[in-house]
Amino acid sequence: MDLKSFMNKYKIFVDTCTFMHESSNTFFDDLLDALLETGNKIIIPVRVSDEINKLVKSPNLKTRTSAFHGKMILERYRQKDCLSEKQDENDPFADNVFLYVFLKHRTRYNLALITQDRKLAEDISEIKKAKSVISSKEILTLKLDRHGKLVKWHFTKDLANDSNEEIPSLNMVNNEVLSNRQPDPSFAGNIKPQKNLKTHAGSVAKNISTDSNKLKADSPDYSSSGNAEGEISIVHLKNQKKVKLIERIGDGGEGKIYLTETGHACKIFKNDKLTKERFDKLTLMTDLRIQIPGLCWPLEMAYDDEQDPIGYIMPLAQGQSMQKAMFIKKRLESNFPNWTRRNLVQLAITWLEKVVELHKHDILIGDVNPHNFLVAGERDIYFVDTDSYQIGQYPCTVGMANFTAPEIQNRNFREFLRTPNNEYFAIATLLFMILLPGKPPYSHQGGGDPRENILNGEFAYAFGERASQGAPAGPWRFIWSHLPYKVKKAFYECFAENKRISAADWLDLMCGYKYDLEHFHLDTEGGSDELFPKRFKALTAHAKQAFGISDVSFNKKPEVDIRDLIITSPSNIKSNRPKDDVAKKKYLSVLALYGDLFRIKPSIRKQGGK
Amino acid sequence: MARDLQLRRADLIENPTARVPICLVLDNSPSMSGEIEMGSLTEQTNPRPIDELNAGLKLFIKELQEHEIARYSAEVAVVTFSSKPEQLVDFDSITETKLPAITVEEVGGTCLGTAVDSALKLLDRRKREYKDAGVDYFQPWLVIITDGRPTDFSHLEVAPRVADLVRSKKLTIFPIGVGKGSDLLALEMFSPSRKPLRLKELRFKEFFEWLSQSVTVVSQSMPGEAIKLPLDKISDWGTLD
Amino acid sequence: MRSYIKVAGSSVTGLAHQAKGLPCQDKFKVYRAKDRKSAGIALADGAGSSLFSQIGAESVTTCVIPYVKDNFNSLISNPEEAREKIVSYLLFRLGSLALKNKVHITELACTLLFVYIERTKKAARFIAGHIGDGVIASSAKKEVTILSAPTRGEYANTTYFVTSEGVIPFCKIFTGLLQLPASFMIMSDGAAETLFVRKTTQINRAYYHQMLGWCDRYPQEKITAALRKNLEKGIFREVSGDDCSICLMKVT
Repeated sequence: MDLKSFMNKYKIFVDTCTFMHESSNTFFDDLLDALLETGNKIIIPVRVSDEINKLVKSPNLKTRTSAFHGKMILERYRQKDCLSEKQDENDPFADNVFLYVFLKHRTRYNLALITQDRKLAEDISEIKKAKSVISSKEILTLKLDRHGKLVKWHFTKDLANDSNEEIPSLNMVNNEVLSNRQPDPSFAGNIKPQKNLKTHAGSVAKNISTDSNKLKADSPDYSSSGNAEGEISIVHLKNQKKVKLIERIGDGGEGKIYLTETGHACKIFKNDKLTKERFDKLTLMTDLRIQIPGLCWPLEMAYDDEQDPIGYIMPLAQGQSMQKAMFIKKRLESNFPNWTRRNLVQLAITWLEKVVELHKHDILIGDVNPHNFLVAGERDIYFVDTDSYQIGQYPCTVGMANFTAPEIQNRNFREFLRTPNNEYFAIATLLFMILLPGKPPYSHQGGGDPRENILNGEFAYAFGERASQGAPAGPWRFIWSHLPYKVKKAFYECFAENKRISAADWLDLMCGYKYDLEHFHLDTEGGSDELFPKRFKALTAHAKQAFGISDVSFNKKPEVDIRDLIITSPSNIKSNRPKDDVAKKKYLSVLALYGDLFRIKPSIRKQGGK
Repeated sequence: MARDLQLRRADLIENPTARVPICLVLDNSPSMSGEIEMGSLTEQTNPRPIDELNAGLKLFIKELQEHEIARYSAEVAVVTFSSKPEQLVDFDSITETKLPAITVEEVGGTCLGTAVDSALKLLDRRKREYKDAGVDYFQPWLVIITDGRPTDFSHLEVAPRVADLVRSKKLTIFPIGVGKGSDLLALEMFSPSRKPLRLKELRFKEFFEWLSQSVTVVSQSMPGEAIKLPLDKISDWGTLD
Repeated sequence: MRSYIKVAGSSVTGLAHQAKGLPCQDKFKVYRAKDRKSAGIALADGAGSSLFSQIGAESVTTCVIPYVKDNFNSLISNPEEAREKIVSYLLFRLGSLALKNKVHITELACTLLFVYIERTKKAARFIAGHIGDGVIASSAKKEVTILSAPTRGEYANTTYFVTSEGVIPFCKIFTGLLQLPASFMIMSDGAAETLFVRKTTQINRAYYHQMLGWCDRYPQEKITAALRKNLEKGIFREVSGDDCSICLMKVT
């Protein structure tokens, strides 16, 4: 591998252990030369140099020596200005900041990590394999071999699983095409689609395998399959190609959906539903080659025997609608029995990644609602009904009240083009419903009309100084309390103050949330990782330590009084506020997670008590 | 025992799915036995209306219990009435609903208004429980089935209240008259927008099938969304007079 | 709300015991002083293996609260010693009972749960004791918690009894001061099957609040009747065939 083109293409991160590798000198010399020539730098988290500085004092001679060499390399790089030392705001807890950084930036840059740590390399590789977006960005994991040569990491699984995914072209008349997806080894106990379905014990297998061939079998409009007499059996495509339709898998207001012999889905419109405008919109869509796995985008127009357009071909979807699969508590628990909250967050991440990609192409979904996304797993989501999306000058003509931003509530969707800001409202709403499974944010407890609440900005969940007003009863207030402060803030500002953030910003927040859950920054004991926690979030011992708060809690030993959990008032915090920078950063990051637990009481005290 | 003194399983906590509460107000006055007096003879219609009603009800509950989505949403309460109303089944998760067979009163009138009032009380209590538990609910449904004329004036006071609730979208009402003796005018007082329907013959089964389908449609939507009921299928069981 | 102190308790024979023609082996007592300044609840579950255990249970529940009341100040000042004193006293009473009935003291084996409270205007001092299975839950202000979870014995499905050898280290004594309103609930393991979640060692908050809420609205007789009705039919029967007993106490 040519070092120079390597560093021009990738942002290079190096781990501590590589600096301490015994034969690393040659490599680092070469690397330094290449860096100087191209004007690049390598990136390390501050933690890495901290670690090396610590290891230089190790009692073990070998360790000391290696660390010393590593330190010399770092010094040299610093001198030549080829080292970029990053302090991420999550550093205080950085067990593994690389994972966080790679997750966060993988759609923006090509990233490469040089590490000797196999586990770390595997974890980083998994990010790459989760192909919820085919981004043009790559992730590389490398190491120095015995001889100090830079080589790629190989894991034995890779050999079996060479994913070379693309949306299959229609020329393949081949049943293998039915599985657009390879099993994702990072699932860790969750359902594995396709081949492994039959052996999976959980009831989710039953749902998925019966539904895998029924593209719209679940939404209320569509009834089940079969092939009636006189139904279309062959459609024509451009260039004299013909495709046989095997069976009807969906039936709805606009038309019917069929399974094709090539393993795609074909939508045939009812009599007069395919208007000229629709045809033009579909032509625009089919011309645009979008490749997002899971997006059931029109690939080609379909024509009848008289060369009149009747429908289009798209990729086949799997799974059950979000509404059905997840938004009823009992069904969520039976479909995904092993899920904890971090799986929900990963689902949100998977969904958002595709949305962000769509937005990059200037396409808006418009009718964001849980019937239009099919879920087969946390990294396996299918976007259906895509012909209703807004593209170019063609609006999305439908929508649902719960997902419609206040400023466009009473308007006719056919008459105007939505803005990204309109869309951000719908996105925030669906995210809310994913995290609080099935609970629309403006759901009025009176069983009445959320429309009014949306227009009035009446959002019932407490935030900041409104803590005293409380969230709706039931599991919802507990779930809400366990959300990180930043996430709550974003929801609150969107739904109560009409300040919305973009899909990409939400994606950042969700990645951070997942990171927090995986590193136990939130209140795991209190249920932060549970789908339906049973208590409010409380300060963890870890957080208390960061704040320097004394730990008074329910004492498990007998022979002692019962005392309440003490929530410290701000005055206590101030006196404990740490002076030095590192501690200060810790303090701020804990505040980011738990800020809402510190209620601000009005200053009655100043007037003296009774 | 007062309701709050009873410890019940916390279904509203375990299952926070948005609920569809349906209250059936059913006439079980003597005429529902199908006995027609003709002078000194009494003729018995076959089958008896009450039997058809019971069969239809059973089907209704069963279909809801077995529907994969509706079983988490639907909640049914039953108030029967003759001279006075009786709360036969109270609101609870549909999977727990045990429906006793409805029997006909030997003697009695038709206290339509008082019965509806009793039903409204049941609904109000359940709505409060939903609210306390943070559970969403769709507009409640009130189904009134009667085969006679009201024998008191209670409906004059209750009907306007109901009509107000319907107008302010707090209640959906289905008033159904059975047989030729039913008084659709009284029923009309309850329902400002939907004209009362007359059940064709004794097609309770068809009616309850339609009702359970409608409930499942609602249970698959979200609170606040417009719902399309299978209105075209009504002619299977009912006619507008 | 006016301040009050209320106690109530009830006990039903388990269906499994009924089927075998066995009597209820749970016994309970609730006490309230005439001046309404103190109250106590006690519950004992006779060991299933012995026919005389319900006599033992009857005896301990009858005498533990008066003893604790009479010696309250000295007991509360030294919990370690309190443990020894209380167990010794109970064993003394059980011993004489055993002699009278000509049985070995171990035939009178039973578990024991008790709470005794003395109140001032704003606070209550309490002493609670727990030997064996069953659960003591309590609440001060709004926070509900398990004061004492079941003690498992050396082997599966065994527990400790008042008469067990070397029981003293396994006797838990709790003393302290609580701000009002405060409440306690003691229950035998049959009732705990419904109200207590073993995996998380937590009490079912909804039920706890509902039951203790009765104290705000109803007199003691009504609460007692409600307890019995709920034990006889409903959520408890559905879950357990064992004897079920609950006592509750609330002070505001």
